[in-house]
Amino acid sequence: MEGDTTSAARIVVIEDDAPTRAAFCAAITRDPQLALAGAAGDHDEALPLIVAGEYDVLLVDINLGTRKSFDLIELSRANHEARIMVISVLGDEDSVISAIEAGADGYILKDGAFADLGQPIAQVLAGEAPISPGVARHLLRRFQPSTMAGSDAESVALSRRERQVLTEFARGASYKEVARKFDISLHTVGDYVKTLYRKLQVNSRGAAVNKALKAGMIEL
Amino acid sequence: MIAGTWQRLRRDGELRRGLARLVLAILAVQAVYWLAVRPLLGAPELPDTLFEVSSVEAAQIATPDRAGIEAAQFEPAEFMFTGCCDPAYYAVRLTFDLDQPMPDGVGMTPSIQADNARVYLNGHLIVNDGAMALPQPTIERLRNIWFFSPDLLRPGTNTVEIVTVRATMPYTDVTEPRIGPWPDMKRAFGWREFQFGELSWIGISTCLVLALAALVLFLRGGRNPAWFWLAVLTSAWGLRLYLAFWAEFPLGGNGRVLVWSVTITLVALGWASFANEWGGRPVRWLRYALPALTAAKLGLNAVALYTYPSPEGYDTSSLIDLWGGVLLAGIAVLLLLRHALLFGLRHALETALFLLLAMLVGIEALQTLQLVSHVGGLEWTAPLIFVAFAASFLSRNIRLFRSMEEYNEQLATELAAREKEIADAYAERQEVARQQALLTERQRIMRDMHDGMGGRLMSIAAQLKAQGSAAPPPAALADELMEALDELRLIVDSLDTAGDDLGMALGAFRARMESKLAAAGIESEWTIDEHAAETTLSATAILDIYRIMQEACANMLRYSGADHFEVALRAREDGAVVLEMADNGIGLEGDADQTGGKGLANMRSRAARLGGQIAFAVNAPGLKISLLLPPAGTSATPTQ
Repeated sequence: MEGDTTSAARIVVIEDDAPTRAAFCAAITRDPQLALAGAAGDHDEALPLIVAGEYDVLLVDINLGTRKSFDLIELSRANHEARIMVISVLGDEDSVISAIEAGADGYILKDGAFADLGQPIAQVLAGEAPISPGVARHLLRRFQPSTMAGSDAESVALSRRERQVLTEFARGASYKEVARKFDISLHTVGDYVKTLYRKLQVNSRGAAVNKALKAGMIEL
Repeated sequence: MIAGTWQRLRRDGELRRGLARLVLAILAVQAVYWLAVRPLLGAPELPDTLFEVSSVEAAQIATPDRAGIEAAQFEPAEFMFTGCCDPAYYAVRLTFDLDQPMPDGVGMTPSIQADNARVYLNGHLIVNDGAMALPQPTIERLRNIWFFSPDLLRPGTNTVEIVTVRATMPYTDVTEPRIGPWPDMKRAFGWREFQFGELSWIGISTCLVLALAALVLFLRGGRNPAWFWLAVLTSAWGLRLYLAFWAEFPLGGNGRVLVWSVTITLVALGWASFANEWGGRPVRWLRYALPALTAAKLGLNAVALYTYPSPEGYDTSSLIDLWGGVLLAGIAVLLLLRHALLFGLRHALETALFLLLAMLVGIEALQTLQLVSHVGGLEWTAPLIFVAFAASFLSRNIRLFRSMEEYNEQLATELAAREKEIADAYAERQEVARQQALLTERQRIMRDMHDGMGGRLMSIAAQLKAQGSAAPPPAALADELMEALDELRLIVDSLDTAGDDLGMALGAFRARMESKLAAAGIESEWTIDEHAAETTLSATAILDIYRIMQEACANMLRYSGADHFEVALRAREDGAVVLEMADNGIGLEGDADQTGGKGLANMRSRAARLGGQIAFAVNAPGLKISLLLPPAGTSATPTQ
């Protein structure tokens, strides 16, 4: 895990598109820092791998089918401490946000050339959180007061600074640029992003409880 | 009902605590009054060196002077001596014996119910205040300690003659005076002097201030009748105290008695009415009944005083005062109980003070009948009780101010809720506008996609179908596909960022382009001005800007050989926004060929559609492209 810098990080890849999966596997094998611990093409193939839990990072394609990716994410999150990253095509940031709500730690954008898998994986393993302008933009929208109901809005409202940081990311700024602009450390910028992701999960949980309450499924 | 109350008491902790508070408050107030206030203000402890009165004689006299005394026929009398019933002068002669010299003199406190008095010691006039002559003697406070000088005292028997005059009341009373060595008398009765003098004035001023304060609170504080009646109560009490100092009263004997009745009745009325209004939920009919009762009572007083012969008039009036006072006090006590029941015992301290006042008024009423004498001490303590009451009342008012704060807080909450509603509505409207923009843009973009991407994909398909030497290399096809994909992404991004600001739209482009530039070894630098970033454009406008940027990047990647690329978004003072793209390549030279020329023309036409201008300048080295967008609202909408 985080301390395991001496041995290579064990990766499990779950991706339904065979050529893409092959490209990922190849990229992992190429990278000395990474070790391929398993690969699966669909939900059923993936289950035993996740149950076994012999991995440090789980890469899940976000488009396995209705909720299937999210089920896998939640299963892994519930049973292991492994980091979870979703594989996403550019432009479906909404799904990325849903994945983070489900418990994903980060995401890898499929942008044709799978240039460098090592860097984002290392980032996530180091406890950092990647954020793209698209995700930042969607987060901003997600945390708009009008889109959240009552008490949820209170519990997960963004602070002014969080909103500023998020806006900078949405405008394409890098960690470094954000750090310089607000005169804070890179580490602090990372903390902001993690806080935002955490709030997203709180948001999702709060919304779920709210929904359940309204539907009369649970009573307090 | 009692069983029900008992049940409630057992179940309701709040009620139990309220009752406990009330009982505690009552005990505390009674203890403080009877153990501290009353002894301090009350009857002095008598010195044990008093001289006994050895004989008493009395006579009605014709003139209040030596001649009158000399001419009178004195007869043996007893204390208390009472003279009745018409205005008259009396002389009471008493003796006391001294068996040793009194170098410090002797003191005597009289106890005289009369308008005025003179005192002779061994035939010398030693006390002579005000006027004695009927029909209008002045009314003096006969409450001092009179000093008998050692020069006038004799060993053995000394004679004191007290000459009284009475015009206001039918009765002249002289009770046994206390006579003793001056220092002892001064020590014992000095405080009494203070009580009848300065303390009364303090009481008068206290009542006056309280009455004024209550009146101001009544007039400025929403006309709460409770304040009005408190003003009546305190001013009547003040007048009652002041009457004792009013030496030259203008209305004659019966007039003075009547004014006295009016004063004490107003005290009772003020008190009962205040008790009624105190909690804010008065018994409505009592508002009229109490003043009516008071008026009736005072009418009876007047009738008795002015139509009955003396002393029946005075006696009857006194009885009316007594029973009227008892009635009003009884009503006040009932109202007090009602208040306690209605308001859940919340005003424990006030209730306890009220109860004390009720008791003292009751004692006072008994005093009027001379059934008891100076037990309660209400005369001097009432102002103090009023102050205590006003203080506890005021402390509750401070609580009222606090609830005002709570009210403000509530208002602030409501305001915040309204602001949120408005903000939500605004956000919703923005969202609706965004959706609307998307809808109208979609058609345009669909057409655009159809023309642009459709054409590209058709061409790729045709090339793939081509056989033999006409077939292009797969790498070229892949490049063309990537271009089509780029085009698709631009469209998706332009739609996705519609409604967001220009800064975010550029952010999306940057995210796509940066890795591509990095792969080509071009380092890019982005500067986004905060103000310019906040411009909002339509999806089609953004798509045009994207295409201009895409074209510029494509040209740079293909021809310029640059390794540094700078993008800057700036705001001009007039609200226009300038987007600058500068590289350090070969400038416009490489653009001489066909593709480049077509590229520049494309950029120009798109800039025109945006309602803006585009300029190309040699950047030494490199090329600088400046796209000027007009201020939002003037012509940001693309021309059709």
